[in-house]
Amino acid sequence: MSDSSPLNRRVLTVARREFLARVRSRWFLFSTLVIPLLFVGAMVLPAILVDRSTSEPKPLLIVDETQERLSDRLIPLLEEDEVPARRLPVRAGAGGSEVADLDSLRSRILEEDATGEGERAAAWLYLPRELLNTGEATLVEDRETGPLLQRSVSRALREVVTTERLERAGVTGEAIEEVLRPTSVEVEPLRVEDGPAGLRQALGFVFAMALYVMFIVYGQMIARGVLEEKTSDIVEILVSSLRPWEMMLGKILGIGAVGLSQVAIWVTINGIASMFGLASAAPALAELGLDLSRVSFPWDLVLWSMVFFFTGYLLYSGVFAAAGAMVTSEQDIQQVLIPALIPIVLPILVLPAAMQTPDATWVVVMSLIPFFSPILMPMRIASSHVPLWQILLAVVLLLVTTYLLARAAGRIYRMGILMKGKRPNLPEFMRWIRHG
Amino acid sequence: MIRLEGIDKSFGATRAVEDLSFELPRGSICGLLGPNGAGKTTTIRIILDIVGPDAGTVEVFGGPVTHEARARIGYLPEERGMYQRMRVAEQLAFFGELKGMRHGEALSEALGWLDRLGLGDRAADRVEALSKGMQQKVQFIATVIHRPELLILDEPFSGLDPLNVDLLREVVLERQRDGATVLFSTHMIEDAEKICERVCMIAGARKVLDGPIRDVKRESGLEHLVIAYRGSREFLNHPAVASATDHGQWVEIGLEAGADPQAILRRAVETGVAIDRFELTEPSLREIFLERAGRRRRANGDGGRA
Repeated sequence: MSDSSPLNRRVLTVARREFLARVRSRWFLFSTLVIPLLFVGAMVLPAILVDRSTSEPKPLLIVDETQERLSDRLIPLLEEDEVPARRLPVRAGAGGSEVADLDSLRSRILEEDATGEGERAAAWLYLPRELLNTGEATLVEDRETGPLLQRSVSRALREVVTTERLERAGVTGEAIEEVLRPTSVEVEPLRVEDGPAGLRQALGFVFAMALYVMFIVYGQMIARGVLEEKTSDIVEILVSSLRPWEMMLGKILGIGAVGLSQVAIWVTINGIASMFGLASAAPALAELGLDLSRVSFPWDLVLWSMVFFFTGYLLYSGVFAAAGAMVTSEQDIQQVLIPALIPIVLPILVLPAAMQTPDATWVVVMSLIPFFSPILMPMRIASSHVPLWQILLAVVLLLVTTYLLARAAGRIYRMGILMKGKRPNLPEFMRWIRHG
Repeated sequence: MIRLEGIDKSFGATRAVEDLSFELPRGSICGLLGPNGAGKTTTIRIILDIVGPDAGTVEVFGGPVTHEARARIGYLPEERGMYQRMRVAEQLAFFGELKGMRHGEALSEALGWLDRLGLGDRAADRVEALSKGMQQKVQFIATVIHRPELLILDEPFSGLDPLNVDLLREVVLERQRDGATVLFSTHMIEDAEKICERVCMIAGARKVLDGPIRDVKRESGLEHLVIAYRGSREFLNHPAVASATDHGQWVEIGLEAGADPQAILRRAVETGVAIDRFELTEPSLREIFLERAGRRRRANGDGGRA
């Protein structure tokens, strides 16, 4: 490798040292193994908890005031939908039915709850006397019941009331079944190979978050590495042996390699885990109308994400290397890291809003701006059909900025690494960038 | 081997080096002398192109300081620094590789040097586990591991015990016998007087004198008188005495030009002082330095008034 080549032996020697020093550390072992465990835990734990809570589901208790005793028809329909339901036994008392209206139902439940003699229920369904006319019932919930229960109840209720009304109008048997035969709407992606839009978008979100975390973690690692060399006075020997840009590039490549190996390990672990996971989940997904065999791997998304990852990493690592060279002590480093982190945090803050409207003007503009594009553009590619020219424009802008910034960062680095004591002020920095 | 010409360097309002020129022939061993803050470290950094001079030219190996040139230099900075968490042998191999050695070659060289300097059993330890003196020896190995043709050592012996000073000095002299050129800075002038053939003295950012020690002493034109005595020091107030430095056991006296040293001896005997030693000698480097630095200061002062 020729001496002035960007990948000459000195750069590679530095890169290898940075790589080995970190890969052999306890931190690497810990974060590489523990983080996937946390991920798996975060996915598995809710499933376990849900499993336990649904093992003995609490019933829906029905208070039926209708003369037609519509609950007789309602309960089997609900049970078909896997919603256990029971009529609330009416306590014997003066004046027939104890529960006259919603308010007395509520006070009775509260009273029983206080004394502890009441039955645990998922919710209470109140069917008023005039249900057949008004079509209005009330679902009383103590805790959030969720849309699934509400949908089951309203569907069952609609069927019961409709049947009853039709029978009153003289319609019978088969005719009623004909009327009630279910309809459904199926959602199909325009491009079949994309799979459902939600899946792709979720993948885009995961990529954006992963990019964000990696930029922050490895960026700070670079800044601290530079500072360590300064505070331990090692930089003086390094500077006498290699050019400042060689030091900077070696460090960036070495730490980048740490990041890539870590990601590779995570992907492997998660890949194995999700192969088992997907195999067992396939029937359930198929039931939801998701045929995985028809969904092709989102190559475009993955490839563009990698392009934006590499260039974004180069861009940000230059910023962080310069930031580390600017300061002289651990106490000062936060002051320069915070401004360096802002352009990374900003796109994450707007990410949820941007995902809803990936083609809104402000999102398009932000996704072209170099500091934001590494995170926002992969998300847009996942959520929408971004014109190729926009992607290419973002890449070109990113590369040009990276080049200019790397030059400026190299100069700041060259001036900053030997600096001790006082932190330079802004005019001094500008002079470094111009003349360094 | 090294040639500096008209070097100027300022940091802000501070003049660190002013109009410095000197030449160091191949194979020589030269001391860069001067008090703290005289500009020694800045001069060394300029030679290594760690900082660029504001004016003047630097040549090493007969050309500009390229990276090829720097690979042939071994540099021991004044402020020692190593990766604290790295193992000793790996660290040395790393520095060797930066200077263009192969990994395996650098590693076996490192182990050889560690053995020689009595650190053979610490090769696999992390640097942070070593004492300060041991770390300094490791740093020294990092300087010589690639057998550089030019050694530049900034205060190489400071902080070491006499045993280790001798050990490192032996290595430096051995490298010089093998053909390397050595430039080392120190503020301990007596150190330099023992090892060096040449000196370059700077004070207040300017060169005071340089050249082979023998010439420096001869050309100084100074004659020095060393007197060990018992009694009153009153006899030293003699018109022939230009300066008197009390070394404790003896006094070193600079003579006025053309003065007769015997006149001082006569005065001493007259005032009843017992003389144990009376020796006319060439001045020590320290005296020459003080004399020159003082003369310059006076000249500057006069210039200021004029």
